[in-house]
Amino acid sequence: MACARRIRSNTPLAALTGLNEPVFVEAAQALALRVLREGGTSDQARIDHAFRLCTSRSPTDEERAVLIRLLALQRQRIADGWLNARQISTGDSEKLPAIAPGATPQDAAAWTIVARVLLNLDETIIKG
Amino acid sequence: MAYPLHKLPNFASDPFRTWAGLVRRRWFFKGCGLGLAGLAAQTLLSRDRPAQARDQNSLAAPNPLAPKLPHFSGKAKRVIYIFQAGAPSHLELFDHKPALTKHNGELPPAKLLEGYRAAFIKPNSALLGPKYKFRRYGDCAMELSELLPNIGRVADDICLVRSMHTDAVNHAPAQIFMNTGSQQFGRPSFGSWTLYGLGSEAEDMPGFVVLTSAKGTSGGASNYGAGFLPNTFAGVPFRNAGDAVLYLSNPPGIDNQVQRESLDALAQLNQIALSEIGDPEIAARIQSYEMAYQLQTSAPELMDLGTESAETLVQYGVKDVHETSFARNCLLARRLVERGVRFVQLFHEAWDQHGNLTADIKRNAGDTDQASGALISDLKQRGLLDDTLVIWGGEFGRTPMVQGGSDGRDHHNRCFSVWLAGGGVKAGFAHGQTDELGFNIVRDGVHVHDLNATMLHLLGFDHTRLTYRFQGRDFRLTDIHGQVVQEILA
Repeated sequence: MACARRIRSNTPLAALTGLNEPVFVEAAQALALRVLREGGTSDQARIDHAFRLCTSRSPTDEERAVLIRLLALQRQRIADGWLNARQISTGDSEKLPAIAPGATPQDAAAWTIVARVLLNLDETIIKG
Repeated sequence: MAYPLHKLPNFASDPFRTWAGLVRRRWFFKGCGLGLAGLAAQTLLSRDRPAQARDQNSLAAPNPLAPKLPHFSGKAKRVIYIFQAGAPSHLELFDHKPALTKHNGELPPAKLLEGYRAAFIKPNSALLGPKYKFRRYGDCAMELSELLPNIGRVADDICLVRSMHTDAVNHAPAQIFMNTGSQQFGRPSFGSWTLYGLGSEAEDMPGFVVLTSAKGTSGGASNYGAGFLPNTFAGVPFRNAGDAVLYLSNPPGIDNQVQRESLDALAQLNQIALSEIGDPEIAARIQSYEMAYQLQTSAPELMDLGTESAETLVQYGVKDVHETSFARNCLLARRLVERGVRFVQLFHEAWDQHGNLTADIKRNAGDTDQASGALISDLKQRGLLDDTLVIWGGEFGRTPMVQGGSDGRDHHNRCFSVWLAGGGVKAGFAHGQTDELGFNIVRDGVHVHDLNATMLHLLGFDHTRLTYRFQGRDFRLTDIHGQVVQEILA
């Protein structure tokens, strides 16, 4: 029996692509909007939904706590004016994200940051 | 690290009845796979492995790239491996054969061709005299081609091996053989064995960087891959056109603090998975994201050759600091080792002169000779040559017989030449001898495994003891072969 496998590519270059390449960034922006649209209304429900979309399982309490904390940190920095919500959520500081009713550009930006982390999880990349 | 017994799944609860149990394929590996295999591995590891190797296999090791001591004190602390892919002709560059000129156009002796296999030509083809003259260079009077005046200028610093031989006759398997000790892909490269053994001193650069010019490499990523070693030890190839590393800038709106906090969260989550599942590739993933963050600031600084003096640029022959060339890669190699990078490998695939030998080998020598010589002088002047091992060579030699009309040579595995410098090799010295036609070795043959054993020795390793257990046995770079070539050690 033979099993042909491609050479593994978890190098820093692959990491930079997952974090910063435009299509990956757009995927994070789109995932944020989807989570705001269909992931319920609480942070916990949205995190559980986003996590399941990426890894096909629910997060543990420990994992959820890491993401809640990241979300809170970024929300605060957006609210304090350090970050440009439109730019993060659309790539363009003049453009508004296509957000679900009830959500704000600030939500879209904070969730884009969370979504970008989720899309770069080892478990997401290798579909564990 | 064995999976803790108290965390083994509770089989009585029958997780397969639940949706979560069905979709969490990793449960199987986590609970059943590594739990038991890990216990077995732990027993094996603790029984017969040296302490250092045990640490390297440990999943709990905080940084697999932390600097480590070799088996004994090696002269070489780092390596610059200049792989001249495509197989440069030893007959035009390093191994002067006046008899080949004399017998030009004649058929080779029948006895010589018994059992001989070339890649393309009928072996019974006319002999072809060398296309270029040779000269003696340096106090050591090393005989080298007129095409290599700058390597000739550092002849007293290099060790030329004219008696290399290899098992493979085609580019990809021969390159992979030179680099991994096996013709089939899947084994760790020399660079990744080096990182596995020594770790890296560079905190903001990968420990093993690959630079390519000309056509790159036929052997592909296997030439610098980690094989079955954790991927943390793999070579990181910089691009050979445009930006060396892509996507160094954060996306729009993401400042450095967001990037840092995002990576912290990512590392925490991956760390949770690592501690549960114990796959070393997750540790490699964590490492790769940290290195990506470091590269965002260190790569632009590395690539900015504006800090180099005009004199240095002229010495190397760097014509355009923004354009990839062999010369720029040589200069980058020096900048990388200055930054603590353990292993830099250059691939310059240009030497496959089946035809158009006279013009193309001259052009290739012109593209590479000046920077090769400059690199040796520069390392020496900066006090880096003593503990930096430089290797320059390709995957095999070329036939003394002609290919095509009168201006080409086929692949030849019976003999070829490589040279080494620094890092404890004997300087101003030529080793080995081929017959008068440059066909077979007559004295002091050096097989690929012998060269690899010798290079590991220079780095402080007994090549029979630098091992990694995979699929039930201990593997090494030299497999079950290899003799250290004592004669070329300083």
